[in-house]
Amino acid sequence: MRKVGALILVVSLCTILWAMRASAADEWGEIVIPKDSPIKIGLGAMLSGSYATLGIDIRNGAEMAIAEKGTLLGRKIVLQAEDDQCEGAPSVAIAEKFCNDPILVGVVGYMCSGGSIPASDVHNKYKVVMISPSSTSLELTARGIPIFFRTCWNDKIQGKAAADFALKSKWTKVAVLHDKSAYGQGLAEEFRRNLEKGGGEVVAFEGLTRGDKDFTPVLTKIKPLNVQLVYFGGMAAEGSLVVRQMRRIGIKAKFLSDDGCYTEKDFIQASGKAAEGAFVTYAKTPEAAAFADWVKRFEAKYGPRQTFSPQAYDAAKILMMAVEKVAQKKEDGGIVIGKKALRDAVAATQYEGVTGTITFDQYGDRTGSVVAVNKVVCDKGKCSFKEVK
Amino acid sequence: MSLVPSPEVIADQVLNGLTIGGIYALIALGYTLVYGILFMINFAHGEIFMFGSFAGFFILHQLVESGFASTNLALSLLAAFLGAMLTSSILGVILERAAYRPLRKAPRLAPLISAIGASIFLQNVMMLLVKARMQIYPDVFPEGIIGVGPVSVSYFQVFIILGSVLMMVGLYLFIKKTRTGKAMRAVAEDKDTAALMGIDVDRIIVTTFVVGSALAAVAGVMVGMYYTQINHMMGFLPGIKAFTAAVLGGIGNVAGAMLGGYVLGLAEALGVLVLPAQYKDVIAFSLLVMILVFRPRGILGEVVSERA
Amino acid sequence: MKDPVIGRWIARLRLVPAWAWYAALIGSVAALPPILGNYWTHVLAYIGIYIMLGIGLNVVVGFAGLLDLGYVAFYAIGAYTYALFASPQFGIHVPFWVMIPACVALASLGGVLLGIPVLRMRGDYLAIVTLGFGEIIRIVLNNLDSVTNGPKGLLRIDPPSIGSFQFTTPTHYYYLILAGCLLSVFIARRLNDSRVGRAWIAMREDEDAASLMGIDVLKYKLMAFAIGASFAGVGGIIFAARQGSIFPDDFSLMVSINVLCLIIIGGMGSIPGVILGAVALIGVPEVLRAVALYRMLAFGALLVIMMVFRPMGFIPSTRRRLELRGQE
Repeated sequence: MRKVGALILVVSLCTILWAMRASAADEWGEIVIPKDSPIKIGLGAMLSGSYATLGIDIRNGAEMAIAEKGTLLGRKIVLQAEDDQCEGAPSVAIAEKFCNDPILVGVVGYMCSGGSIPASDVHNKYKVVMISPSSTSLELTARGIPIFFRTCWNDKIQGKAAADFALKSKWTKVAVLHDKSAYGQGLAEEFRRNLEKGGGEVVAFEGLTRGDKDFTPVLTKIKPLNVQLVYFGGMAAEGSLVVRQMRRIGIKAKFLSDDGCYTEKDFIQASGKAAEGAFVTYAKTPEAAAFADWVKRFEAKYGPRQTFSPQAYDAAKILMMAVEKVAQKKEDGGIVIGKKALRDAVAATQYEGVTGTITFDQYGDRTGSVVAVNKVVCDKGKCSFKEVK
Repeated sequence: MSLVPSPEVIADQVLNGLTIGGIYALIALGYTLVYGILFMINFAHGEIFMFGSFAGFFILHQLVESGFASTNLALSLLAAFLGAMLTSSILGVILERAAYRPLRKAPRLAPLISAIGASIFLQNVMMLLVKARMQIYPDVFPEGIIGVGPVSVSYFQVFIILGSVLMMVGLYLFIKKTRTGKAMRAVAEDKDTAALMGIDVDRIIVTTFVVGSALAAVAGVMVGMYYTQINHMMGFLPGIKAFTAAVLGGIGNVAGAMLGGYVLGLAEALGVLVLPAQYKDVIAFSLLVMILVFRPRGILGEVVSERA
Repeated sequence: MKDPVIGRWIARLRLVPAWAWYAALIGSVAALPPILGNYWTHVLAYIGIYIMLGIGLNVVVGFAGLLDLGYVAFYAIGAYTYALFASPQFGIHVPFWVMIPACVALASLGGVLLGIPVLRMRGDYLAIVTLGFGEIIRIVLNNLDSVTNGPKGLLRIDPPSIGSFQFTTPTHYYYLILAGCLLSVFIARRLNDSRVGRAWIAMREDEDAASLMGIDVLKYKLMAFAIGASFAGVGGIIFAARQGSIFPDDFSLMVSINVLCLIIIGGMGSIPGVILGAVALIGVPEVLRAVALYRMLAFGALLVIMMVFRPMGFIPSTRRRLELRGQE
């Protein structure tokens, strides 16, 4: 009996050793799509929870791109959308899942910088391309990760645009609030840096707790400072409460926030009367008719667009175009896509997307993306975002 | 950042503190009443508060949509409050029956774990009902500011402060003057003797849950109207803070819960003047830890008898 | 009725020594990664971390009977300690293996520091205070930007390495975590059978009687906290190394509740119960991502149902079963 036990132990050890040898990962490798198999594109966004409005919007954008494309290289295209909860741990788990899926060619994602950052490390391990429509943190393109791209702007651009607008409008005495997230705080710091460089003064810099509802204490604290502007870095859930409570306690300052508040439902609707006159930064509306046309098509199918659906649409399109460019057909009917070739094809993209001309710099940032300031304008009770020229 | 805050700011913060303090007090009363009788923390009380808020939202939303609210504001608000109170009370009764009553004789850990489970369950029920999206209370309450000298008070704050005080006075009278109230106090003091005197202990327990839940529902509708955003997680933090308030004042002690609520509200509002705003929640948690370590009986002392 | 052939086989199987069964079990678990592929190995490894956490919390809740709802705090201490000393944050890169005892020590210290003020409290108060403590830790981590980088988290955490070999693939971490689990199980069993373990049982049954018998209740409670915390510390450092980046949001109350759920539902005080709980509560939702939305709903309902109908969990320890039956 002892011999049997010893034998089992030896076999187990050998298996372990063999397994460790066999687990050495290939560096770039290839994606092989077997004959008759669909091609899969992954998507990570917050699909349930406080910012689900944005996540679902992103999914809709990507979905539309795929639906319009129809087939890719004669194969059906499957969009696998997963809920990343705008957090690190779920994003990492989803990334592992996606990167190990043999028929998945790339990912549109993830939604939040807090999720994209750790996920990008996983993607870099497996060299699977990811194109984020909404993660704007500078960290993502500062680390030399070759497989990350984004069709949105980054926080450097957005913070500067906001600060430039504030300076131009002669709002030099500013209070800055943020939601203590990787995104909101990073953006608030960029704004402060740029404002102070231009001669402005940030008299208060306070963080809020995400999920909290009562900001009257902190707003009461800054009220006597009589600032001209309150800048908020964060998402609409908190932003709408801030602007509402500001007006309620009588703070007359202007309100300026970021793309997280560029949403009709969670900001304009949620803020009620307080939304009027608020400013929000977002991508400059492309002049091309393609965009207006796209909006019409999108809204016919999905209702009012929220924030990042155009960027998600473009991201999906770019991914599919790159796949088409580098895929090679095998004799048995299968398709082979080299991972490095795919990545290089994405990097070399020159595309007239619905959000404008898209090219990427060597870090994965979108070149030439321009951010504009939008104002909430109300007409007979109906409020919407209008770009400020 | 800022130096010594001016008296106006302090006064404003005191008002903020009294507003949120009143809400904490209303929720804390539910905890304290239940603890006084059953010696257990109704962990799911925050969710009862949340459900009340949603019920009020639903009613108010319907009334606004149908146009009724624009002509009958007071009536609509009343309907929202009553509907919320009814919903929460029913929920409280179900909770007691399903999750707590079977565990009356079980070791202490069991009802607590059951309460945690119930709390999680209710949060997720609501999450599924509203598809995890937040809801916005209709903007029906008139917004405006009254200037009282250097201090500015909003209509809302007046409404909440007065409303919560009203509810508390009502509760106090109920407990002191009515038969049921007296029976509740008897059961809290000594369950077995009360039973011997002919009091239906089970019924009183249910009544306690009803009363506590109704108060939480009122707080829920007020919070919904005041902050307008409600979501399925909204009960968690206020629940813990209200429990802190109850312990602060002395668990089981009705006056203590009220006092504790205001103390906590003021501590938070004034604390923000001293600390960076993002540490606001730490104030509540730290107070909880400190009170339980240094004076677990609370400010006004506990009102719990020995476990029979 | 009893088939003599089967009877003889059962008799033969009984002769196989226990350790051979364990070897076979461990061997088969160890052989899984190449069969399962990267993603499932990753999931199993994640379950493994929760098994370690479950065993640790089991010491506190199951053995010593203290309901700690702030367990995630020790997990965070382990993770952040490693991350601060093995990432670009301060430019220090202490090797993983050196950091393990450091993380264990710090987490245990945290357990002791939390325990001292808190252990005199009654059960339900203890639960709430520990919950508060866990939340305080998370808020502080989120706000101490100069040290922890706040919400932006600590990134590019060093993976463990032996010489020139670096732990990179899910399979590598799988084996690391498997080793951790085996060690945890071993330690837990030894504790259970030791004097300390018996003291805990006595305390759990009747604290006053136990102290009358000369058991220094406070000391043993502190030990429970500290030992339980050290398991979480190890879990934390492994988690940080594996994920490569950590954020304060990774250490929310949900983690404490998840671990609590899995030991309650699996079986308090029993190690197979903890394993079952981890596989069921962590693995299944990962598998069925589509029903992830319903996971917490089921957790909550299960907690209530288990307490009412089967408080000892699905695979209770024999002792527990006897205990709880005796109560009826």
